[in-house]
Amino acid sequence: MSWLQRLFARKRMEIDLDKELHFHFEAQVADKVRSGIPESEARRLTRLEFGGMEQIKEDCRERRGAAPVLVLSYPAWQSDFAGDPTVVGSTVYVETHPLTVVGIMPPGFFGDRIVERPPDLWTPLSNEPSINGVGTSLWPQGDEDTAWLYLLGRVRPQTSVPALQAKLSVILRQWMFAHVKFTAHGGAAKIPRQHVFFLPEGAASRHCSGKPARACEC
Amino acid sequence: MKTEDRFDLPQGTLDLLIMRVIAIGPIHGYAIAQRIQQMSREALQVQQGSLYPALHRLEYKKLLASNWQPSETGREAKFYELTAKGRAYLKKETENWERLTDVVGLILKGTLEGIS
Repeated sequence: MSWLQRLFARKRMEIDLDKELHFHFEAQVADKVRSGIPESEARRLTRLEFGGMEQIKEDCRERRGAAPVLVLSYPAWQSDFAGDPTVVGSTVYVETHPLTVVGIMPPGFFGDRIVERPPDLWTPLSNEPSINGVGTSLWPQGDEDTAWLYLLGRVRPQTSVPALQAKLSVILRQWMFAHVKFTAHGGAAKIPRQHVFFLPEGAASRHCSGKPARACEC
Repeated sequence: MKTEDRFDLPQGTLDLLIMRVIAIGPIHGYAIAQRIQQMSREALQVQQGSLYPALHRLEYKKLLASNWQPSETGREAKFYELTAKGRAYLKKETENWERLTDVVGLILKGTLEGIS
């Protein structure tokens, strides 16, 4: 199979998998509704019974022998692969683990922050334990308070950014107050000054000198 | 049903149950889960998180084949059926299972001369 065929086969498989699981979900909801449960409650119960839909999908992909995927950054594609378009669909090794290249990010995308050495690639979070092994950050051993994941998201067009910032700032402060490492040594007095800032993608470092946006004190 | 009535299936047994249900005729995932629950008189409840990875693994090993067909509700569903390889595998694994349960039964229920 050429890389293009592989890419289409993968896309087809993803669509089918999604359709298959949704069929099951809807059939389960319909059965509950038939037994007299109101639809909203039937949906809630079915969601609970399903657990993580994404996790089921990931397990299915794995069982089909699908190699985990990655997306290259534009600079890494240019420098490590000389801008070769046929790299999409091929296998590259990341710390000895085979990963299939499924795409290249547009130039100018550097992830959640601009740092001196931006990431060369992105891979789904679920691949992290298989790459990092026992040193995985996803299932930390012992330190339940580990906080290392930076989020990048899109807001709906009508969203009021100041209102959302205020709401998330409250959540941030509540979270900090609940953890001794932030409240100890006079830290509690500083928590009310903590804010969450929403910034355009990649702009966080200019505002907060490299600190994650959610923990910056301005 | 009370939780204590449920039990974990030994490794590999779920594949056998799924294939046995599929051997009856083409069937989609949701109906497989329901059929196993009915046939086990409600003692077994197959979770989606176990069912679908098993189906996809069996299909990948070419023991199952699938196609999309309208279901009883008219909505398209993915129906599975056994391949020739799958039929042979089911037959062999069923025989293995019967031999294994016979042998384990002999030991669990039986006594040996010389052992009181």
